Amino acid sequence: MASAGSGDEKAAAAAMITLISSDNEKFEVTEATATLSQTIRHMIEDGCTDGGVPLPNVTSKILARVIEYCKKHATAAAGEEGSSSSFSDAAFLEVDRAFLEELEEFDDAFLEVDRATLFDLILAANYLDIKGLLNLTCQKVADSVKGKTPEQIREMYNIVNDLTPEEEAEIRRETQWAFE
Amino acid sequence: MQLRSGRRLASPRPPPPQGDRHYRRHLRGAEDRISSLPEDLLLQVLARLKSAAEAARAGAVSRPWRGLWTELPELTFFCVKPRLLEAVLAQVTRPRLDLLDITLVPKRGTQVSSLLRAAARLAPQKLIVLHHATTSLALDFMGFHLSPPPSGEFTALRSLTLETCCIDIGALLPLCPCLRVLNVYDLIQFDTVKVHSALLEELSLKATNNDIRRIDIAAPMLKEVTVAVDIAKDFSLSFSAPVVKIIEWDCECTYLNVGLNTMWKPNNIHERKKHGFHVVSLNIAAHLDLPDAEWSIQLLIAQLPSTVFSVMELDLKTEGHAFGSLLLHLLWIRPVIQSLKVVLARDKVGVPCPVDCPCEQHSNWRSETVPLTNLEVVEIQGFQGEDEEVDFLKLILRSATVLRRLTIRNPSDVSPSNSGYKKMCSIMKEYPDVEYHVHSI
Repeated sequence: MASAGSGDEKAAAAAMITLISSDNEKFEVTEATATLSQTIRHMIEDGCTDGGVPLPNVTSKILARVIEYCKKHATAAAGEEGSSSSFSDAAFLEVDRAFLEELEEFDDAFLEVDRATLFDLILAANYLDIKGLLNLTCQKVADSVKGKTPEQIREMYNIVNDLTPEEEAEIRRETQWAFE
Repeated sequence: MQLRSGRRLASPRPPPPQGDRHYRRHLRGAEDRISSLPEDLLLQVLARLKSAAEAARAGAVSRPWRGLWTELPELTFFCVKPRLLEAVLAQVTRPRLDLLDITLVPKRGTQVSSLLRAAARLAPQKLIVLHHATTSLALDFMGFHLSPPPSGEFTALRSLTLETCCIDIGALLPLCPCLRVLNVYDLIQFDTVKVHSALLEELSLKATNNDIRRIDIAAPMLKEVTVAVDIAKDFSLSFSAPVVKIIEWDCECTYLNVGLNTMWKPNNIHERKKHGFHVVSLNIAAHLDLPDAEWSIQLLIAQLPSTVFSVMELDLKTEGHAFGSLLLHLLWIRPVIQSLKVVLARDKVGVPCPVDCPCEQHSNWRSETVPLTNLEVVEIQGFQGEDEEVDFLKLILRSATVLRRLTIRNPSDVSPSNSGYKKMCSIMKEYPDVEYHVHSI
């Protein structure tokens, strides 16, 4: 029994990956969680994760949030695989739906962050190539911009208008169709 | 840095000059994070507006935003005039689009062939064209003829959706040699649909505004087909799709003079083929004084894409008429079915038949036997314990030599003490190999 136990531990240990943030904090995550990032997946495939994966573009504060997202969605992905064989079963569909709703609630709550964090998350999602997170965060920004005038967008995001009045008039002419 | 996926890693931008930063802090206490995003990420944001016009308007925010919309891989235009749209599409800089989704403003006499030519230049993989229009307006609204064909072919196009369009699909498809998915909803004016396509895998066609005279499908790779049409009185079908897996085929017979004995007329015929089930459903109603039918029900069934179905579902509105001869006629059309479901809906008041009612003229069916040699499962709904029903039940039990299961669902107002009901139960007892169920619904 003892040897079987240590074997399990060994397998579990082998599936752990250490991520190192720009401020040198270490995070232990499962391979399933880490490989939601295509960037890390490729590193694992290339066998260059021994001694940890340094992520010089991601601070510990943001990396902690990213890992939180990946953990939740890795479970979701595993759940989907597990239930796909019994897709016709109404009970399973019910469970799936409940789980998807829970995931949606998680995503909504996850996005309750200040703007600086939101943009840091976009950059991290892009750097780590996590499709779901990139989509989620970019959509959040898009939703905030939707239906707004250029003036309102500038105001909202503290954007300095660096266009000359002539340039503005020219843009206006080029995109007249979009204002009709 | 280049990743294996071909994506570019964004390098952090140098911080903006101190003075500028100070000014912004003063303004709102925060910096401009959105404009300092790398261009491809700002594009990711603009793409999620799902509106080319919104993305173009945002070009007036500041310099990094200017003209970005022309690089979007997916462009969605809502309610744009075709002429204007042509000029707008000419501004797009990408050589190739993933999606071009166009909703046009309704306007009489609009020609869209030149618009399609402008769209073809952008080699979209997926193209959606629909008209934000009322049906009556759309009727005479687009004279879209493709002769001579546009210079640019839709060689990249894999998915095409056309909605509320008056379009000659037969002329369009040769220009789309790589098409995999075609959706046509609310086809207008054209009564012939010709789909000859070498690579098409999914086809969805809905045309219920006008009746369709001919459907001609030749698609060697077609796997899934959904059709909902009103068929014309001279309808014909040619269907060649050797690898088709899923069929949903729904024909309304409003314009068709089809029926049996100037009494029974199919309203609708439906074919479903999916996961090994292959069902043909007929919805037939009794009428008095129908003209002599030009089409038999058998001919109607022969106009389905596949006539080797194994399940027959019959939904009969009998209006109190004798229906035994109709059922017998239908069973003879395809006696090799494995499963049969009959749903009877009757006029509860029970208006008596007129003198010499056609339903009484063919009562010799009672003594017949049909070689239902594969029929294993039968379900009947709406039996009320009448003599005709008892006779039909006898015919089934006598004919279906391998019957395994018989289910009868009676209306809840039929009491188990009803004499016909008792008779049915006692007949079924004579066939101990058949598992039978009687339910009240």
